[in-house]
Amino acid sequence: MSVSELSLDRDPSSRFVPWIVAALSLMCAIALGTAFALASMTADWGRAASDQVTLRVATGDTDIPALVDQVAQLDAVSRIEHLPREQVARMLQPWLGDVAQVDTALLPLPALIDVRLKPGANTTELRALIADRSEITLDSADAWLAPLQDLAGLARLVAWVLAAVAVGAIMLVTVFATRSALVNQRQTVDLLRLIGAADGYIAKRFQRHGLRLALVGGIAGTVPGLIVIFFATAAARLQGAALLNGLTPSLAGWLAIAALPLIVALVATFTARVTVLKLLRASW
Amino acid sequence: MQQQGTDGTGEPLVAMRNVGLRYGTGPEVLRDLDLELAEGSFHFLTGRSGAGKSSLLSLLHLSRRPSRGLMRVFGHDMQDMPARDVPVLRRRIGVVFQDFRLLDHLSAQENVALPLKVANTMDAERIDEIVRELIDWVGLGQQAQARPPTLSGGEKQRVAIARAVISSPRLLLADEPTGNVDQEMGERLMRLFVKLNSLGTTIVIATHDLSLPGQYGYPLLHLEDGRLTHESGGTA
Ligand SMILES: Nc1ncnc2c1ncn2[C@@H]1O[C@H](COP(=O)(O)OP(=O)(O)O)[C@@H](O)[C@H]1O
Ligand SMILES: [Mg+2]
Repeated sequence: MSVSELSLDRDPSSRFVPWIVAALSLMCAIALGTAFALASMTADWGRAASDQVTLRVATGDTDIPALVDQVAQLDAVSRIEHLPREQVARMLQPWLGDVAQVDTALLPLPALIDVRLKPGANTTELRALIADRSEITLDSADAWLAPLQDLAGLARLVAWVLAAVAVGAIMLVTVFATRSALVNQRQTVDLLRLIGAADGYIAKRFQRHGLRLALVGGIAGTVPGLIVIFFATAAARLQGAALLNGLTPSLAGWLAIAALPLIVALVATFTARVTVLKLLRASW
Repeated sequence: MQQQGTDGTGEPLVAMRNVGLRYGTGPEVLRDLDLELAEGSFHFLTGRSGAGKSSLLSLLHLSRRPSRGLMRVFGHDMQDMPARDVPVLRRRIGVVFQDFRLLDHLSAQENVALPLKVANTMDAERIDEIVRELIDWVGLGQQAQARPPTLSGGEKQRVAIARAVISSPRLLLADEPTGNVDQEMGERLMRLFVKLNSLGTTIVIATHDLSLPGQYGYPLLHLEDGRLTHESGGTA
């Protein structure tokens, strides 16, 4: 006999549940997509920029070859290059016009030394070396990336909080819907208990009901969510600077978002079970 | 109180000592109950409307805990019984409610099958087999697929009885089982209970109709003002 003792399908209090779960799942999917996309983007920045620094030496009587030798001997340094004066002058082209027309020897150009660090190494040694030499400045991409990293980190945090709020709201909706379904079905539930149904047996009916509603709502919210994330990040990458190149969730991120309906369904199942068991236990 | 208790071989199926019941913070509707139901016994529970018959039955079918006093059912002290073990005890008690409490969205047959389905110890084919046999036995073969709202009072009563006995309970409780049916149907139902009792089921039938017990020789449990007086039936 496959007919259910509890006519939960016709329960009017659960009719709205898939819609709310869908809206919350959409919100959760977009929040997760944002968090994952920001994570890949900042990881991309880190890979590109962190092992490259430049030493800028103000014009003066510094012995550049000696400095290059000193720096090259540091453990953290893998490669070092003193940029030729012409190349430095070319960098000034946007400001000076055609440098070929200018006698670069007359310009007070700084000396630039490109330093590539070994993977995973940091700039502590290098900074110590130049600490008391005010004519030498260390430029690293980290300096201007750091605030952007912080900003992206904050945005990720906000996205995670939103995703968590959405999941919490799904739990609340499930609790309320389960409670009202239990109240509506009180007489049937009481009868089932009187003829010997264990609390777990009754909870299972409500669990299945919650699982079905949440799965439907979860799919209905997550699919449009995936589409929104795909087009929004693609549009940002197309229009934005090179900085936004990495703005798309990783494969693991996409899979995690695609699994959202299952996660939502499990959360609803668990919530419905706990809610029913708690209410039944209160009333032996 | 003579042979209400043990039958000499074992302890009574149900025993109450000094039991009281109140609803919420209201007055006690049952007071100082001392009661023993011997295995295989047949009792009428009588008393005016409002005397507490249904309340006493609700204690017996474990849908309420007594507010005070001691109660033993099938050899278990109910005071120490964890809630999770109660369903198994309830499956050995059949109840025919005064208002039947059939599920309107299920067929007669599905209603009768519920206790077996809920106990979850039998496969669907075996359940179907037992249900069909029992439905025939109570004379509802033609109405097996009907839903309760389309059945007459007597037919509902028989569905309710079939549901109460399907898991071969050791204790069968019936609340005013003849109250909603005509006299002929009432007599047929009583013959059903007598038959079940002769097969070993312990039976308690609550009724406000004092003429009913008079026709049978069974002992009376009489409730008045929430207190119990034991009286022998016609044979004593
Ligand atoms: N669920 C309940 N809540 C509060 N009072 C109740 C409840 N059920 C019964 N009573 C009260 O308990 C008393 C006994 O009722 P009941 O057991 O139904 O008597 P009977 O079955 O003999 O007519 C009555 O005064 C009734 O009002
Ligand atoms: Mg009553």
